[in-house]
Amino acid sequence: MSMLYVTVSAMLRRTRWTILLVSIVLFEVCAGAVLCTLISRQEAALDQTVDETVIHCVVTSTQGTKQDHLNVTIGTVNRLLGLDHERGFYQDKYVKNVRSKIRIELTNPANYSIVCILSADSDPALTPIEGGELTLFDGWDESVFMSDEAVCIVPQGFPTDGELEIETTTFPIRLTVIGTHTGPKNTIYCPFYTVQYANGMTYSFTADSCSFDIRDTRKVEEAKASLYEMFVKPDIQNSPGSITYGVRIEDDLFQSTVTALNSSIKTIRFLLPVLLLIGVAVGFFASYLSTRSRLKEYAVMRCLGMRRGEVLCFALSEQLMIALVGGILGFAVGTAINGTFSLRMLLYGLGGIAAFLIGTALSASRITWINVMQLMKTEE
Amino acid sequence: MQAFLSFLQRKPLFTFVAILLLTLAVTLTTVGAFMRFGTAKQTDDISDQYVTIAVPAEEKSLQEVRTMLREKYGDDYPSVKIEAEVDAYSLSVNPILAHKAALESGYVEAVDYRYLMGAYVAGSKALVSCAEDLMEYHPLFDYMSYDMAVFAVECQTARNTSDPWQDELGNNYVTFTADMTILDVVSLADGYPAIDDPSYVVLESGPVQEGQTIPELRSMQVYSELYAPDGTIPFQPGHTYLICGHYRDFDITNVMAFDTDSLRITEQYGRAADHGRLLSPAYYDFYCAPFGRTFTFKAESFDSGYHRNRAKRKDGKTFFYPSDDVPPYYAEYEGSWQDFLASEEGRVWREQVIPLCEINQSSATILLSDNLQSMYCFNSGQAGLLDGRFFTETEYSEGDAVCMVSAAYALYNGYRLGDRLTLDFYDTGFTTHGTTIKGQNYDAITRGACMPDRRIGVTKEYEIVGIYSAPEISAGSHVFRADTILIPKASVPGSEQYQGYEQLLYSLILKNGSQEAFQAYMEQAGFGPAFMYFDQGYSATEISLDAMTENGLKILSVGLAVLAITVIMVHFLAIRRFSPVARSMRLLGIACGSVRTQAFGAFLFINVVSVTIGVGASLLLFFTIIKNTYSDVLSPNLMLTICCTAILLVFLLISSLLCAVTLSQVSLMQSGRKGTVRK
Repeated sequence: MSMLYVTVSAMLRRTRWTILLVSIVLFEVCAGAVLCTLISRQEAALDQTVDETVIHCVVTSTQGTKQDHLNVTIGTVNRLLGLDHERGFYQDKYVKNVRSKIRIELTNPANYSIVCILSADSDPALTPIEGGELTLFDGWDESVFMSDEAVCIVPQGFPTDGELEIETTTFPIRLTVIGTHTGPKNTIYCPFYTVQYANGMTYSFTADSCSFDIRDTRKVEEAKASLYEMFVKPDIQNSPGSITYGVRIEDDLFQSTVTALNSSIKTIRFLLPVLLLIGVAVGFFASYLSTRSRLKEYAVMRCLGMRRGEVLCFALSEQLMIALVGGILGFAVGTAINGTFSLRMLLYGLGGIAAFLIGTALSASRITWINVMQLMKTEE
Repeated sequence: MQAFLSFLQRKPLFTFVAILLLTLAVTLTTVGAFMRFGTAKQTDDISDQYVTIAVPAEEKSLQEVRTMLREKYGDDYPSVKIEAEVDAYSLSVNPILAHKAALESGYVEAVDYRYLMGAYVAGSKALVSCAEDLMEYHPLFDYMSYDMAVFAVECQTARNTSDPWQDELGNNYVTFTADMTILDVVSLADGYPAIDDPSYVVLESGPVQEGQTIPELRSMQVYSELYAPDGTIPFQPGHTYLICGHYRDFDITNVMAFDTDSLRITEQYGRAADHGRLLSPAYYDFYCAPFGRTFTFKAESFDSGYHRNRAKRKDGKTFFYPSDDVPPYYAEYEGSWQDFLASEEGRVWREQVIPLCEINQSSATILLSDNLQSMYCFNSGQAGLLDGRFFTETEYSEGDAVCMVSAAYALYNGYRLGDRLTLDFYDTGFTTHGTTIKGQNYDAITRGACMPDRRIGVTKEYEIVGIYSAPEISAGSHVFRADTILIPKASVPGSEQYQGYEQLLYSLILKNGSQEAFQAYMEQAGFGPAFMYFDQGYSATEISLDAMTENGLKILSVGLAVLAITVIMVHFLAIRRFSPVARSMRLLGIACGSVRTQAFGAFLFINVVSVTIGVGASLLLFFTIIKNTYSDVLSPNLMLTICCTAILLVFLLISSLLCAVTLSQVSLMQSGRKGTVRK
């Protein structure tokens, strides 16, 4: 109790010094808490960036000269959609949002085409940039385009009584109108598989165009490797192929961004231990120097009959109190700056406090082992 | 100065620890500064790779808007209110007003006004629509330039025709049609049929069915409104002519063929559309600016004084005949056309007409831009780089002679990266119009022909630095075609004069990350529907950039805080240590100024050594990291190092000065042992 009283009164007597030391611990702990979260914070941000980035892929001719009117086999589209799992041919593990369209000219209504689409953005003419807008009637959503339901979307203002009888060159189909669009006036849209499985029969077609996105941008390299087994990398040096296609993977910007962001993380990873060490060293040397600056006081204590252990204990308890106050404040400030709490922050904070106390212990033990007479003679 | 320095010398542990502490703090601060500015630079570098754009949205026709509103509100909704909404829509998409509002928003970094021209590319073949795939043929894409051709023909029949379209427009003038047998192709672009070319004639392998072939290049029709000056049809049956015009082949239509037994498709093949092969008089279309089509030119409005004369026939019908200031579009000859060309009569054909056709058959569309990434096609990934690179900032600003060509164009002409193209520019003008392609309606932007009076007199050699892949022959208001050569705008003098708002030729480049704010601003300003926005995924990257910037700032803040507290502590301790010395000096009668100077010198020593070692350690640390990470993105530059050092030195000098002043004012009445300083 008396030790505590002496310690507190000594601290209060040396207000400026105490405030300075508390501030040092505060900054040390706060710095540790802030620095230790840098990597996790940046990694979390990078994860979010990667998750939210869309890598667009376009199927082209092998030479990269065409990406419309490609005559892509439906098998290729099905493979991208993952419909051939049982045959072992699938890419849906790596791709998503497959967009494809098949255009078939109609004999009835004359001068009209029916375009089978996998999604609203499968046909650029139906996208807002080209003035296209899709309105589906109540109870329908865009997932219908993946089906073979006998439904269609007609141009705005197209006269219809809710049902539409269309005719390709060889067979008729009866479709239910489920919406309107403001895209091409002479185009009727329907789900991708509607015409292929019309009237209970199976017809095979080729698609005009095909594009998709990479499912998991973290596995872009894996996805690329897999896609390049199915497609070729388009190059004008390639030989033209009728059933082989190229795929243009628009990942350059993503790759360069991720590389730059990763290099920044790598730099911080290298830098962080050094920065933390510097922070800890500052605490250590500050406490070492501050303890050492009180050489005279400790000499007096020794002269008054205090044992070495008691002096050491006194010095440590004083610094411990400073460290606790500074540590709690530093941890609180660090948590406020980071906006989050983590065990790692606590560990780094405790590490900082430990370094501070070790500095004190080292300095005090050195002092207490010096001869008392020598201590009294010293100028310090 | 000696006294304090001697003190430091006598107390090596204190001196060492004090310097060490300051060095560590300086190192931390310098590292923080390097990180802060390094991350800022890196953020800028990453951000610079992204282009956020606002491009004009496709306008709906007012009739469409009316229909939409009618469908939305029902027939009972008052017409007055519908019309008011139609008017509001009309204003909200007005490109000029929207552009003005956008510029006032403060979010627009630049505007890319692109321009479309033509150029004669020496030694090249024009990429006509059917050059690679016959099924892709569409006359619209070849019209006015690549389709200019000269044929040797024999007239079979000629008759006046009524044109229902012209009648509908109320134009009371006559046209004629002449059926011709093609004797020879004198000048025609490479991608078109050659006489007796079987690969052209049969579209697909397999049994030839009716309509599955394009008729051989043996006959065609000439359709025109240009009569002889006396009002008669200029072609007489049995006579032979050289005729120049815009060649239009059979449209190819995709048809699904079915095996009726299995109801499966067996083939997909092309079919020649119902209308025939046509030739319409060359360059008159151009000079006479077809109805409803306005050509846009960069420099000045085109002299569209119709190069045709108008007269009345005896039956009261109006007819046109060519004026004398343009070359003839037909010439009757006897014998062989080669002899005719060699004669004095054929001189104009030999020296003007045929070379003009050849220029157009070797021409390409040129798109001039200040930022290709701001084009919708490239920005959205519809078009992409296949090989090589995009233009650099310097190439854009300096107008370097570099170009990008499409894979289709490069393949067709055998071009590779690094090849040089000699471009002879023509201000051909361009026009936007609706068309139907493969059964779908689109807007398309097309250029005019390369005519002698549109030659701007700039011929330059361009190096191919990139090959792009894009929709080859597609229409759409934001789409360009594979015949387009992309070049920096500044490489053609005078091109900067053009400022238009066509979808393909206009993009606002927004500050990255400002899209939402800009959108909200435009919405508030009443121009919500005027633009569409694309950012190449910057919004996703922004999260990481923000974290990176924040981290840089945090490291710097930590460094500064540690520096501040360390400097206070070290100087506080130093004052405590120095004050007995200072007091003794003062008691010995040394002047206050001298004490101050000496103390300042000692502080200066500690600080300069600390800063030197600290900055050196930071540099060493960074270069070690760079060596280990193989990345120099965050490497500190010389200027930053000098600035950091200077700022730290100034800060520490001020601090030293304050300490020295404090020390020099030490109270002489107090015990030196206590070491208290009183100001």
